[in-house]
Amino acid sequence: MISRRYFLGGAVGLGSLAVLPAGAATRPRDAWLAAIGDSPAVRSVGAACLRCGVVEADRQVLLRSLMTALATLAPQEADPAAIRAALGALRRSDFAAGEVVNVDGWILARSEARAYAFAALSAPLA
Amino acid sequence: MLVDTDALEDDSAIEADVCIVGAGPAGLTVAKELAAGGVRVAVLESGGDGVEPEVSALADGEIDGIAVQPLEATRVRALGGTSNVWTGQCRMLDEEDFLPRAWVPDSGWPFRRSELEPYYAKAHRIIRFRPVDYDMAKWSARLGQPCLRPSEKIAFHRVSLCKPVNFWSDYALDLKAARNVTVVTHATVLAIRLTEDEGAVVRLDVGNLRGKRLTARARHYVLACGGLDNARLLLLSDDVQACGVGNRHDVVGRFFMEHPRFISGTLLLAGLGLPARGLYSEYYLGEGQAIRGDLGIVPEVRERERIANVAGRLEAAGKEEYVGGARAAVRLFRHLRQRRLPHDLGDTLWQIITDADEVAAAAYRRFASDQNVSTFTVTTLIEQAPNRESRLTLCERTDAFGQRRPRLVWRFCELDRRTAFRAVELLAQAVGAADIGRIRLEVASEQVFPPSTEWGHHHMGTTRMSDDPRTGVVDRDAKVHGIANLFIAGASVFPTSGSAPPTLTVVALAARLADHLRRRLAAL
Ligand SMILES: Cc1cc2nc3c(=O)[nH]c(=O)nc-3n(C[C@H](O)[C@H](O)[C@H](O)COP(=O)(O)OP(=O)(O)OC[C@H]3O[C@@H](n4cnc5c(N)ncnc54)[C@H](O)[C@@H]3O)c2cc1C
Repeated sequence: MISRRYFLGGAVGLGSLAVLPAGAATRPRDAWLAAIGDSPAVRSVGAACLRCGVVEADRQVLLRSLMTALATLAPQEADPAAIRAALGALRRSDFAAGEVVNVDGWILARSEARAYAFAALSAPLA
Repeated sequence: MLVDTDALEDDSAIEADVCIVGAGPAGLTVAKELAAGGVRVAVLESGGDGVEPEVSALADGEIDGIAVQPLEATRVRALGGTSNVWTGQCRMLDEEDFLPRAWVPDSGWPFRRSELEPYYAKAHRIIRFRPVDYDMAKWSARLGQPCLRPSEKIAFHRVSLCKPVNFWSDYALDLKAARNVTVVTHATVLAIRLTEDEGAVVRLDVGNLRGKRLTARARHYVLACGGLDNARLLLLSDDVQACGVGNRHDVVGRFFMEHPRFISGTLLLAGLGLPARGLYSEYYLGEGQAIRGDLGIVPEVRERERIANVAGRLEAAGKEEYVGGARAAVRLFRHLRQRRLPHDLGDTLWQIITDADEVAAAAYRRFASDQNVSTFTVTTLIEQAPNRESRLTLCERTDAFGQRRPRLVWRFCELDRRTAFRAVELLAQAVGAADIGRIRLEVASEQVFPPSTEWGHHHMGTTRMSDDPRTGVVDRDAKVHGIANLFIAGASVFPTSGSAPPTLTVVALAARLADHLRRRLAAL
């Protein structure tokens, strides 16, 4: 069960941009993780998404499907702020289109569930 | 004039142009409107001035369905009817509620909302709402209170105006002095007697609990006994038409609808949250009036999803129900806001005094919760779809008059369950799409209504309106099909209920019926 506190810090709080370690911004994985939020709250929500089986349990597949969905984003985009803005738009349009999943009763956009799951499966930023 | 049956001779006959059965909001509105036009009116009311246990017990019966309160606890038999205890929330039905919807069988009214609009305006005046404004954005700006901005593609705001007026003491008291009106208390109508050809009502049989028997004769008769007793009285009157008056097509009592409501979700807000006692609770405006905002699902989405109408209520989580003395204190407070005292003032004060700890604790909680909160409980109230199998019948048990008691078979259909479940998911989408927050569902599946389900005390549909006698008990003028001079006022005539509390529409329909009767009398 996702705790409400974690949920506030994760999904609803939508985290804050994690600070990227020097030189890391060139790695897409780190840029994405920084954009999604590299925090225990986000990971906890991501773990719940995986446990409920509503998203793919594979980091590469998750990242690829997010990247594909964000067609407006340049494939090599490494600016966390730009990725985050694009993810926000995707999340909102998922909700509007009914592209949602049920995670322990919480209704989440499919793309945000994927993003949290991706964070949960990724090693923390150094 | 106000007279009690005790003061009348046994076997005496009450005579009038129009005889109205029941002195609740429906009956009193018809009476007042007709009285103003000089029509001779008799109002027969089962109760007296205030609640009496032996009279209340006449309304008791059986319920087969979700366990809610006993039937007698959901209606008041006294002058003013159930407006002695209602919470006064009012809203007009939506325009779409009047139209047939392909995915809601038997839905729609015989006319559009435009037909009722002048009468809605009158109903607002009768309840003395000022200002009449259903626009949440305007209220938000006017009061400087924040409101949510859910995705407009999915959800929208509804505003209810709240003013728990007592239709007897606040509205119809001047009938006491009207020469052309006789309000008779402790006058329970026991049967409707028809002419031999069954085409008209010839008289009503009336009794009181002390054994007195009377009759009432009029040119026109109006049943205004409430959403259950209108049908019960028709069914009880079975001496000429064996299945009850107006029941040739077995529609009387069927299509019972309520507004089931239950906790369906928890809303967790992003950002700063909202005031706990803001526009989504009853926000007090002064002069006994309050407003409350709910969320609805836009008609196009309801059509696409094939669900009925709904209202989503938000309440600051952790705000506890008032119990014991605290509940009594809230009631007293509401009455005082209306500048009146409850009819059971002694009991109320006693409850408050003997439960002072709870009163103090509740007052503290209320005070302490006057701050921003980010967690709200979502309560969904659904429009119950018209359903033949949801019905009022008579049971074998009898009341103090020896009359068969009502038995309510309250049933839900698959559409009700789908609406209940899907509505909160859609609200979750609406808040998510606007990045307001997230909703956690508290309903597990479409199969059952949750144990927290309550009803709204809104009894509708049991003498529904339709131009076709095979699908309705009354026609578009609220006249019983096949009976020339029998009319029905109240929510029992609603063929479709929408998600709005019924009384504003009941009052509007009653005012419309009064106009119709006045025209008929003038044509005689
Ligand atoms: C706790 C509670 C809260 C409510 N809150 C709201 C709300 O916020 N908004 C809303 O719109 N609605 C609300 N309602 C419902 C509202 O009270 C009813 O819609 C309204 O009272 C219906 O008016 P009526 O005149 O048709 O029936 P009633 O008010 O029930 O009046 C019927 C009258 O007929 C009399 N009667 C019955 N049988 C006979 C008989 N055989 N002979 C003679 N007289 C008879 C009764 O004694 C009674 O006085 C609430 C109800 C309850 C119980």
